Amino acid sequence: MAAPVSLQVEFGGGAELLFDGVKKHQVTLPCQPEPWDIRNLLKWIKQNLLKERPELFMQGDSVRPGILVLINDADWELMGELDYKLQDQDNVLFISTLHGG
Amino acid sequence: MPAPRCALCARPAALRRPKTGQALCRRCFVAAFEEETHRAIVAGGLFRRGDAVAVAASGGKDSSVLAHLLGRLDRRHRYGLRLVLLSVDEGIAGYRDASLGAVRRSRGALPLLVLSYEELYGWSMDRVARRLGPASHCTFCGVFRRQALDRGARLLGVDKIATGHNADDIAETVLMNFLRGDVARLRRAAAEATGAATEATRTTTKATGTATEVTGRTATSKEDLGKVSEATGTVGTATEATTRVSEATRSHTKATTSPLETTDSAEATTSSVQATRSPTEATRNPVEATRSSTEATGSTTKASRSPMETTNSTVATKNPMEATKNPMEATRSSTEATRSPTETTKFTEPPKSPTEATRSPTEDTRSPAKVPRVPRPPASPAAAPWPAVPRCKPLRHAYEKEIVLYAYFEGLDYVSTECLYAPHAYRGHARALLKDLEAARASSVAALGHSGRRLAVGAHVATKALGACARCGYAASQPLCKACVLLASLNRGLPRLGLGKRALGLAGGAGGHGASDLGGDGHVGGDHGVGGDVGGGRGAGGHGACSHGACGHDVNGHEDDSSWVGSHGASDRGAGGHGTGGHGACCRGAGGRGASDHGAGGCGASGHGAGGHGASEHWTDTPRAGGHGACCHRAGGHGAGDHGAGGHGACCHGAGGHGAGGHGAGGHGPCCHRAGDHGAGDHGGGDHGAGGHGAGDHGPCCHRVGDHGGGDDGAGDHGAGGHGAGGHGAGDHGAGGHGACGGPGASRGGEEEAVEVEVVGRGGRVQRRRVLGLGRARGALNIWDF
Repeated sequence: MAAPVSLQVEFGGGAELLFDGVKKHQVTLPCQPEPWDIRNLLKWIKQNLLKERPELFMQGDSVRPGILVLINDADWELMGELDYKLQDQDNVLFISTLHGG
Repeated sequence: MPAPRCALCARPAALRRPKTGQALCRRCFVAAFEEETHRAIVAGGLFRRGDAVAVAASGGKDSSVLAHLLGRLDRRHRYGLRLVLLSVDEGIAGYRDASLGAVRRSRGALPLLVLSYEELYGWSMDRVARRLGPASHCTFCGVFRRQALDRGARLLGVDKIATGHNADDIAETVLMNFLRGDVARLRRAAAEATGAATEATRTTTKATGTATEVTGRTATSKEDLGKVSEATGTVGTATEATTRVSEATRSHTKATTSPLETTDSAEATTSSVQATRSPTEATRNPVEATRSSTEATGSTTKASRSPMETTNSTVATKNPMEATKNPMEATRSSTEATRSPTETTKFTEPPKSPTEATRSPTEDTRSPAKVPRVPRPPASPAAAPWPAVPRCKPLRHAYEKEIVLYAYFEGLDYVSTECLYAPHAYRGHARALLKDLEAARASSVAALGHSGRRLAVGAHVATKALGACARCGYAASQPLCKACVLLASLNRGLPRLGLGKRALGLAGGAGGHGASDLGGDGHVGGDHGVGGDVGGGRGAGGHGACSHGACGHDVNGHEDDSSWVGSHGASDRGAGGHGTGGHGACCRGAGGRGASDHGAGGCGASGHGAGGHGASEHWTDTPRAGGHGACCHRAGGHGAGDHGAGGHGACCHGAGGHGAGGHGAGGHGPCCHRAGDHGAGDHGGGDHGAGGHGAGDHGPCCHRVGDHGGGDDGAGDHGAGGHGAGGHGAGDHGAGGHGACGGPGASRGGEEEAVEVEVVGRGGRVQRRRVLGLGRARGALNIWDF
């Protein structure tokens, strides 16, 4: 049973528009049997934070291609992507590259 | 899982670079990104020392990064650029106003010019969208924006426009054009410099024969020319080039004795650039290019000045890397290609005076009269367009991901609001596909861009060369540029007519000369009757083309397309009539009235020409006759006597007011219009003024200023300018001439029209100013001293 995890989740580059325009969210993930990873976090975000048009944020069980994910300011591609195990106080930033330009 | 270490230093890595998979820390990434952009700029020969460069700034991520980077690289590497931000306010509430705010906030010390659709075209995008309904917004917006940037750049007198297109954008465009089967755009899509420049260089490769001399050596194959053009930096070689900067630089240094002129002139002649042999030309100007129009007439005109410059700059040089690197290139390059003197400066110095050096006697077969040296409107759609300001894409090799991360790491303030209309855009599909491709294989983005640049189109595939819009003078691959077509359709209350194939017809009509369009209104008057207007109306003028088309029919009530041509007059006037269309005008007219009346003749293709006259007669009798301008034209048409030969044109107007005739007419008999003739009065309407033009075009002389009197027409809605009245005579016309015609648009494009712009000086002083000659007089606004 993993302990609750507190995170700062941020959205930018236009992704915040899907979250009522709110860029920074302080969240606490509840206890659950398995450790929290990004895959679970995305599910949780979809159920708890996402306000509209989930297809613009998610594709399958991952983020939509074109949305960058930074974990503690590092590219998630360096961190195991969906399998990254979240630590307490992690900062997860989603930046859309799909907007504007 | 801890982040891996940076490949270049010991710090924790911050990202994996999409193209190479390399892990870098934030600092190393920023440095690498900047260095690569710098190398791409140098290798591509994008700028020349002392260039004034307008950065097209939307306030979004790409242009914000571009402006930031160019400023930084300019300071670091002493490019010696004069940078200015150029923004376009499309008039999209809640979207563009927010992003323009970001531009204003983050412009640093760069001066800023903001142009609005509302001022330029009389339409904000929000209004266009309401008129349009659910789709096609981006088509209108993109077309208008492109021209707006050109106009702004000319107003500022800058040498280049730099846009923030990144590798993803270019790959999307390539995909989109593939999906649409748009070969002409495919050719241009990924070009490094302006589309037109590319077009020009490619066309050049088709040259039937070229004599290229480079510092005493000769490269005689057309392949060389093409190859050389590539070396000038007009085409994207930078990806590869970054790894061998010195070679690329070396070649381009020479090749681009004056890169600016290259593209500039290239743009001006794109349609044309058919290189012909000119053995007598000395070393500086090895190639003679002829105008396409002259080709049409079969004449072998000497190259106009711009094509010469083009080729001059293409003179070049051997770029061995190119040859070996790219098989396609390799086959094109000849073994005789000479190697340019090695110069390793990073930036080419401005040429001493390439223009003078290369200028050769220019004979324009189509305008025997002495043409004023001031900018003037193209004499016909086939004429050289206004030299568009060359464009470049310094970020063309940069992945979107890296641009976004660069902006993030550098703390850049950009707006990411989605345009309200974008969700309906076709591009969205290409983008989604590209993102999926990228997820599967990151290098596909670069690969698509590369493919676009290296695409070879079979010689048997005809693509239209760029020419000049008959109305506004900006580059167009049809008689009228898309902006004028769309604008005319909007102003007529039938925005969708501007879309799709048919548009041409309509427009075309227009095309005719702008006149037509406007004319349209004019007609209303009953002359033609509705029909007239519509189709014909313009069409008419159109001369030709248009004429037929479209117009006619619709109006006439022939609903069916068939009509198109036939329609009209088809019957009545006989096909021929239109045929020519030109007159087509008449046609309509015709239609309008009893077909018979005009009779074919009316239209007669000849429309103008002889036929024209035929018309005349009719006209004559028929009161209306005059009406139509179309007919009008014909000399006889009108009072024949009146105008006399020139008559036509003139006449027309008179009559028709419509401009339609106008043109055409003009076209022809310049003389015609003697001043008095039309006199504003005549047209009265001026409306059409349009017609005016025509005249102008051609026979410069004719119109003496007084003739049309600007004033009169002026009013002219349209035309006013039309003829700009005075234009012509004055020489003015030139430009004004038509442009004007353009109708509202027209007028707005006209020389005489003042447009309000927002200017923000370096120090932050904001002012709204009315400027004249927007888009015409180069450098009319000195923003650096503001």
